[in-house]
Amino acid sequence: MRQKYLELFRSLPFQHVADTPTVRHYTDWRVFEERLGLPHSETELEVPPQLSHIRPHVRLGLGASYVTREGVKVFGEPIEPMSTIEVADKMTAYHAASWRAGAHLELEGEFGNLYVISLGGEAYMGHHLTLKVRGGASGNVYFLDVLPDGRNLKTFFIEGAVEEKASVGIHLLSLHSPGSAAFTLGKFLIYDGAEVTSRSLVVGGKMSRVQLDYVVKGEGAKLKAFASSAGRSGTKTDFVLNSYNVGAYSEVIVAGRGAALDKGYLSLRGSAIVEESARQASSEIELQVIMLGEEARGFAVPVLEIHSGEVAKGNHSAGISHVAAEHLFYLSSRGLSRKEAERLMVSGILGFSGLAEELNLDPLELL
Amino acid sequence: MALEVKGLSVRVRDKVVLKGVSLSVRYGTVHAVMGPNGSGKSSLAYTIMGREGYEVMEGDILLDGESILGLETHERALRGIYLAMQDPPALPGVRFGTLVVAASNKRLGEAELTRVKDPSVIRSMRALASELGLAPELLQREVNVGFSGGERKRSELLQAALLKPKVVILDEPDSGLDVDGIKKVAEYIRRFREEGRAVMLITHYARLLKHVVPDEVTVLIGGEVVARGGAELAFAIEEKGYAIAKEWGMK
Repeated sequence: MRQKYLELFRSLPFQHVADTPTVRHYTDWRVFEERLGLPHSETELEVPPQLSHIRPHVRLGLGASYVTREGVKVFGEPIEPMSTIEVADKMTAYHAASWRAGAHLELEGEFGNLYVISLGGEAYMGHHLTLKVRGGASGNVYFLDVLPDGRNLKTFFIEGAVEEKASVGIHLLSLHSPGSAAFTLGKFLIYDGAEVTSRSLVVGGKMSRVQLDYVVKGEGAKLKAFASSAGRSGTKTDFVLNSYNVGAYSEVIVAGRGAALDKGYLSLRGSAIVEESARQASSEIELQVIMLGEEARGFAVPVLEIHSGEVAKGNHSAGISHVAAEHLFYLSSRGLSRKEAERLMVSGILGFSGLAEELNLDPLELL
Repeated sequence: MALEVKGLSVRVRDKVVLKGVSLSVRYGTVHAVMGPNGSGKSSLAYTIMGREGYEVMEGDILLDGESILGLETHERALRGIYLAMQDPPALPGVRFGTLVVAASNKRLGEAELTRVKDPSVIRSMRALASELGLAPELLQREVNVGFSGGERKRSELLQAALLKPKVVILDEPDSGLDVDGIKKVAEYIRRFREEGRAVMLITHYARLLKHVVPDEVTVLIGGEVVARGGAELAFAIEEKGYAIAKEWGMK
């Protein structure tokens, strides 16, 4: 299989021109292209100090190490990797051909909070993880996707299935150092009556492409996805949240907030697709990005596609604005200096998804 | 005297928006500033609050006898001036409760903005929200994001009540409200007066003034003061329009 993916990698082009038919590319593929020749890393990053209070149960670095406990089974290799992901672009093919460390998680019953950390290295690091949440299980899985500074590259793929009537949180913190490049993809299948809450927080590097695809397959399955992101000065982040209603009576809510800072770049986008089979389904997507700084660039691009003839609800909305004089004046009129007002706004945006609070992190310390 | 505006002339870019305006607001009183649209009422409020772009050409603004012209907006706020805006902006990412805590912490001299310094603030916020008919969930929502017009007005009043400023400037707090909403706003304005605060109430209708009889009325037209009086001036305007204000001024 690896050979097949390698051939695909060689034959597939980078999307230099556009990600979308509207002739715009949000990911700067050139940064990845420049780093594809990097060797595999020989060292792995230490857990960054902001996350030192978290004790991960699964650690992916040069290899995989883990501890098991009740309700949690961990295997040292992913099971049927790439079985749910279509290899249709160059970076996905690169990952499929190149990743080295991985694991498979099976969760059942009340499994509590589970922390999985994926650590980058000084050169290329590829991690692949598969996840199965058994029917009726409940708990939270936190994926911590971190990458040190330098001219490096990491690909991190997660394929997950949430079986019938499970009620879980599947969360992602992507913390990529300013010089790094990362391609992170999560794809989650949600079956009948299952409920998933997903909180994500992405602080990107020189180029971070983070994509979360939620396929709400089951009848009455529910997804609530909340996302926060910041594009720091000198970095580019393309954060994509896609949802697919497949099951009848399925419900999806996606809400994201982002801030592009100084000379930073952030695109926050997502497609909410209601398939023909999704009778009486509902889907809502709302994305807002603010820009702090004259040279900051931000995009909020929600797309809603409804292919079903009978939907219960379908909404999409976007907001994008420079932090205007009126925002700062309003906060100043409450007694906050300009700097405090800006910090409050950024802190609020990074805290919007709720992940920083759950992980006991000060959002501003992540910048 | 709480607030004194003396011979204030102001321009925004090339346009002069206030011309030699003088008025004063005493503690424990309501001073209504009336005028048609575009007469300079909001410009006066913004200038008192020190909004960027409102350039004072001449005149002065005094709080408790001291000029505040050299102070930045946040410093004026911390000295005790509060402006409830006519159309406050939406602030994505900033929860209403977080804003209230931050504003309260600043008044307590706390550098940390989001950690609750005084737990009674949370209790007061919830109690005021209930009294103003605001749903408890609103406190967790982002400031003015998806708020109805009424919720915006009430949340501005909530902050005024909680932060206990010396001077409360209310810029058209009744616009877009139904009768019950107007009565609630009026109740709060009366409460501010009873608590000894100085209230500057900006409005272009006298309908709110039926529920809160002002102690003084000043009428602006074209950025100038054209008339001064008591509540009777407001009711004369309600009956005969702003034309009467100029005659009143001449008298």
